[in-house]
Amino acid sequence: MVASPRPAGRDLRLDFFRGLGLLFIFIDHVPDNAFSYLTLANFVFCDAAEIFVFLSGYAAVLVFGRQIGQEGTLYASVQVLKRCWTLYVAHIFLFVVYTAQVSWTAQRFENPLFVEEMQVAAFLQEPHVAILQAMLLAHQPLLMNILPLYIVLLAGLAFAMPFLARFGGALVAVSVATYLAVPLVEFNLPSYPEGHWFFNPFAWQFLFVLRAACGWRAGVVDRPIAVPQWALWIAVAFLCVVVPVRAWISVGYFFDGVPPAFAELTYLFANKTDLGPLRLLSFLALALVVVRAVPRDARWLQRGLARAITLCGQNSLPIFCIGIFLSVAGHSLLIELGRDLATQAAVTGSGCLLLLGMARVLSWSKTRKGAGSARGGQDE
Amino acid sequence: MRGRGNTVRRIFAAAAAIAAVTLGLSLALAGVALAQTLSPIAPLPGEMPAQCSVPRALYVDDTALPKTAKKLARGTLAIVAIGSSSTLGVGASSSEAAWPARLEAELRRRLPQADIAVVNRGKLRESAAAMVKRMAGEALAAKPDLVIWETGTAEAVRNMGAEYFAAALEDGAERILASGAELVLMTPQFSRETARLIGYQPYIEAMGNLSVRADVLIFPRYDVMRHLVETNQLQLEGLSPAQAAATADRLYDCIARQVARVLLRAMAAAPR
Repeated sequence: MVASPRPAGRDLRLDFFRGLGLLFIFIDHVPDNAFSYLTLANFVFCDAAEIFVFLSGYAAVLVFGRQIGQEGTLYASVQVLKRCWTLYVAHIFLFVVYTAQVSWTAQRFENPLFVEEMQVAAFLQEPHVAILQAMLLAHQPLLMNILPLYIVLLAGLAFAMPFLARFGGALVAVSVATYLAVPLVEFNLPSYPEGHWFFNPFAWQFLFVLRAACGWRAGVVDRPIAVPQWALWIAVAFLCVVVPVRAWISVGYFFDGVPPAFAELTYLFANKTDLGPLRLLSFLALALVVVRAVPRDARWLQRGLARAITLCGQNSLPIFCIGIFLSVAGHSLLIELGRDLATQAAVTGSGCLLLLGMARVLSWSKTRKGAGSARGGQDE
Repeated sequence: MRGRGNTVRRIFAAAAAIAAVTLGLSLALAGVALAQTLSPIAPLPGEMPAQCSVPRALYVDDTALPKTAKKLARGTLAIVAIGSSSTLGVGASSSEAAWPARLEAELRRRLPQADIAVVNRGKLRESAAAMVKRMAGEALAAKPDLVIWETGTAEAVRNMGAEYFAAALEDGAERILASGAELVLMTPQFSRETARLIGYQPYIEAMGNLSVRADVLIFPRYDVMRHLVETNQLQLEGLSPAQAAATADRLYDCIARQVARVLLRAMAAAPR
């Protein structure tokens, strides 16, 4: 974070909830893990992906927006693009790890029963295309779909930044129009070898832009948008309906208890690719309530487990990448060692511990190196 | 203040040590896992009893098949199996060893008085959407009583998006049910090697969501095969070509017997 005029200016809630989101992303990406029933996705119609995109939009604007004031728009835009580059390199690194894993299996596992499944290695037959597609962010195997979204959104921010100050309203209007147009016109970026982006950037940009615009007013120009009391009550009422319904659906899987028509309708509106309206509303309601319920200077954020989770949020990129890696490793362990609850607990627990520990080490290494530097220890 | 700084530093050191130990442990475990993959214990021929024991608890869907039951009571039953390569019978010693042919044999054995036919409409590497396209001509034209739709593999392998898959699934199910046939969905195959590389979860979940409907029965082949693998009834790694073909025959036969079991239970559950 840039040395800000207000030393206590960093909103720890931002880091805490982003850290929590990163832990959820790890837990949710280990298949057959009973502990994934404890994460956000089972209580509201949104999940850690929304947290990540929304809070990252805020964080990016806070860091880079303040740089506009101090160093100028061009400088800030270049900083954003540099950040994009770091994310891009991380994405390519994950792709290399994935490729190593696939080619290893493709060479060793030859069972004609799985000839169709081993098409997963088909991209190795045309590396000239596959690598290019990966570099164009179109090849998004397994869990590699959220970083491309974030890269594209952040790159967009670099170009939107000059307009944020004067035409913030217009920017939000364009963003809303694009979001609304997605289900009507059905456009999305293509992915390789076929299909579309898992996170449609034309839909998901709305969350990012919305938070960037609010963040701009609250954190950069200090004219926060006042949320009226009635909006808060609507959000609370909405959640009071949504939480039991969503939890019921999660449990209903086991008992076959959900009325089919109702289930179909909910899934239609909770479309993840196009950020369905139910997901969006769930998240916005949740965000309103949480922002009000947790004061900015809450003491508990600064100690114990909350502090450790906050550190995860402050090192979001490396923790995200390690989390993806650990999800794959954790799944492998469950496949090899069995899926009993004790093993699940051991895998989930040690994974979370590893993430918290790594965040600690990363923060420690940053405070050491940057005691007096401008980037005093946190990424955006 | 100094003392506090030292405590914090000590906590950092402890956390770093814990992280290092955990990392080491998980790497060691990964190493063990890797070693297991590298040196699979090849099954000794002749040591293989008929291994196809699956607990009833795996079959949670209690959807009934009243129309199929009624048809069977009148003495005939026409089933179409539409799916991908594992329905076609790839890897088996002959097309007679594919699960649809084995299912026909098993149903005839258990219901000797009925005239039962199972038609195989498996095709290599097809997505659900592609299967929906040929469904009317290849599967529904013959007016089957029951369609067993094996799908999800192509989408999961190419990571095509569970929502697009769910839409195609929905579309296909509507067509099948509108034709008057009843529907059984069959989930993808399981092996440790492929489960590591392919994100099956959202696709299997999409099939599960559809099977919540009272008129769609699901056959959880993924869970069945995983159970067989975990209980060492099925060994899929490190096989010679001959062993692989024998394993495929045995597996397809087991799948057929399990499908027969589920179908008979669903027909018995139908009100008369």
